Amino acid sequence: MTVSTSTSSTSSDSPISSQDELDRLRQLVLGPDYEQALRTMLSQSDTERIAATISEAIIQRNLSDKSVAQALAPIIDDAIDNAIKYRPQRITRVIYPIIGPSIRKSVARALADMVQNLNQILESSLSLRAWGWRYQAWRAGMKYGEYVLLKTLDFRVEQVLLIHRETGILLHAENAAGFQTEDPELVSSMLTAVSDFVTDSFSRHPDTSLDNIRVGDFILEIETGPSAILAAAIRGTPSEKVSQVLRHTLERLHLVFSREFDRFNGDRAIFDSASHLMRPCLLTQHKEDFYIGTPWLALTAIALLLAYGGWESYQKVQNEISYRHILEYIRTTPGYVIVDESKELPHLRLEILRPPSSPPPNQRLAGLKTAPWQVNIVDHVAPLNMREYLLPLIPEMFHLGQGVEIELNDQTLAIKGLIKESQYREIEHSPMLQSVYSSVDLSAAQSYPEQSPKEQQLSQWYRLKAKIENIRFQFQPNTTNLVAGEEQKIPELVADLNTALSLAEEIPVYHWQLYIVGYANSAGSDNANIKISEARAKLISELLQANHMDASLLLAWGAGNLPDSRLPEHQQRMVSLQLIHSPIILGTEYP
Amino acid sequence: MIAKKVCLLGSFAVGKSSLIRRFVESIFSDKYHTTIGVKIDKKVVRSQDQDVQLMIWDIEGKDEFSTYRQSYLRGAAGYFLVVDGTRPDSVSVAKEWHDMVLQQGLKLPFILLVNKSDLFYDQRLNEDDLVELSSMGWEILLTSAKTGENVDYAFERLTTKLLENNE
Ligand SMILES: Nc1nc2c(ncn2[C@@H]2O[C@H](COP(=O)(O)OP(=O)(O)O)[C@@H](O)[C@H]2O)c(=O)[nH]1
Ligand SMILES: [Mg+2]
Repeated sequence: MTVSTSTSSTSSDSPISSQDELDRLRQLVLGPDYEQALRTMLSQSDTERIAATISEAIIQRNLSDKSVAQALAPIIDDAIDNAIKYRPQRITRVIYPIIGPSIRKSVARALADMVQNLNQILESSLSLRAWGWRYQAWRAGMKYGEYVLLKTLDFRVEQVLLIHRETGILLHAENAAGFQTEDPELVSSMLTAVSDFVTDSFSRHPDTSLDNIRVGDFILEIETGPSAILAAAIRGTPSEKVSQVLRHTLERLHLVFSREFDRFNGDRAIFDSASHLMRPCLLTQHKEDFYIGTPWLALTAIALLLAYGGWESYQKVQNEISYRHILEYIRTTPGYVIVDESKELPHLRLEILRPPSSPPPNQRLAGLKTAPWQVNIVDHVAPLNMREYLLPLIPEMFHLGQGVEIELNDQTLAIKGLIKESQYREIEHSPMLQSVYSSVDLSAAQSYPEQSPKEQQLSQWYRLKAKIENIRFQFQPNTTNLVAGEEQKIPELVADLNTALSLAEEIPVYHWQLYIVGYANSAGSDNANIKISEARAKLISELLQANHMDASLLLAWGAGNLPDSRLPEHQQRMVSLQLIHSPIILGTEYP
Repeated sequence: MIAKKVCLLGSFAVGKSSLIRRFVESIFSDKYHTTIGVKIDKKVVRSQDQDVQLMIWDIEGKDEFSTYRQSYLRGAAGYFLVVDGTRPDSVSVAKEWHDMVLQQGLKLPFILLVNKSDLFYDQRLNEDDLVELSSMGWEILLTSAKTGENVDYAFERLTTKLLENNE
């Protein structure tokens, strides 16, 4: 250090001679490698130089302050955003097995809270839905509790499909015992198509991915991972547990088979080993499980009480048994639904809902030994109340708009305001409304058509198309002569075609062509039949051209005889028409 | 059994659906077809002493011109380009489809089907166009969904190409 300072002061005095000295000194101090290093450094471009040192530089700088991180953060964020946007597959494939479990943990907590709340609401409230269910349970001749269970809990997973996401090909299927679907391979492909369709259609709202579809008695619960999809066909209404298990299984499948998913070339043998991972998805939950649950609980309580011994306990047990007996007796009365109950010895209060045809509760209680309980039953006869109960439910049931007023006049339901045509008809013919109200008054309601003018044009187009395609020109045997009167169909056809033409421009429909197809009956050789059928088609084409139809829109050809035609022989001598056109997409321009 | 996804691409009304109907025995309800714009059929084809399960995707209606094209092609192992021998415009649509496949960075086996060969008096395609495509290495088959000409053969050929591509 000291040496170099003193030399540099010397060199400034006499620059030429001191240059050598400086070099020598450099050699001395820095060693022979320095020259080499300097030369390499000078020959490198700036970029190369930076590249060689950048990581060390960053580490160094980062030790002293956080400015590097601050400078880089937005760039890295952008890079990640870009990668996710343009190469989502790649990113999600890597992180899915890692983030899956952690997301699940926090979701599980939230879900548990939600379920808890839901239970309380269900039990305690007389919400509209609860009343709706009570009504439906009553109509179905079921007990309310049973109905709620049916609505919420009873299910069985019949089949689980593991589907390759990219190709839509079924990799492996697991079935519940005794279950066979029609065609899991087609279902798998359809599902990926449907799910792509949904994702594509709603890609601006990434949350709206497809997670279940209702198909008749089944719900298809769908879990989508980066490389594979798990779909479960479930009978009944699945609980949240099912999707949890599916999600979990799919994560494990991604861990185990990630390479196989990536390199899938159509060979599915390896995925047979997914069986043991997938079997746990075949969950079942029967409503019987719940009924079995309750008495066991009661019996355990009784056993415990007995174990405590003593007369008091014995009395309590007796009271409990008596209470359960009464409850069961009332509950199983045909048509009865227990809406509410409360007890405090010796008072037992029940509230029931029942149809008018059922026996009144006092009559039911008459012969029953209820001691030590004094039973008080609040009796709601259903239809009388139903009119009121249903009233606020009607707008939701029939999807009525806000401006619609609903009133109960005596026993008549009066509906006022603007209602869509289909809803008007639905209300008018609803068996449910008819069973509850003595009449439905729609005189102050006005119906309006569902379709926009564009949609009306479109349905007019389809009507015209159907009309044109239903026309048949019949011919005399072995000739190209029309059966008498057939040519009278031409003017109307021309008028329809012209209407179609102008509609086509408005909608718009592009590239349309009228196929004029001639046919012959089975008499005669194939060759002759082709010829005559073609001549028949040409004749109609000429008739249309004579009526100023544009020849370039017409294509006439002969189909000969159709061996599997279901028409009688004489009707097979004919010409039929087919309107071919580009697909119609409202509001889209042809590219 | 090996399974492969194949697609039929081409302009409207060139006969894509009719070709498939000719080829497969079962028909999935057409209801799905119109709502989601895709119809899928399957058939087992034997090629090179091996059975291959083909999952055959047919696109319908609006999808022909939309962005859904991409997801429709996703994971396909090969495809047919279908044109209508009576409609020269259908050739340019097929070329467009082909370009789009290439743009996605896919290099898949394909065959050009010139359909409606039964309408031989109305064939309006430019012979030179076809010769040019063929000299570019395109495999071209004349088919008719109406008479069944070359339909089974076309699917067998494509399957063979898929298997060759596998190796
Ligand atoms: N003559 C003839 N007509 C055909 C042939 N293939 C399809 N068509 C007709 O062409 C029309 C359109 O066929 P379609 O299969 O719906 O076409 P896509 O839109 O490509 O699926 C229908 O009227 C078919 O009957 C064929 O090979 N020969
Ligand atoms: Mg079609």
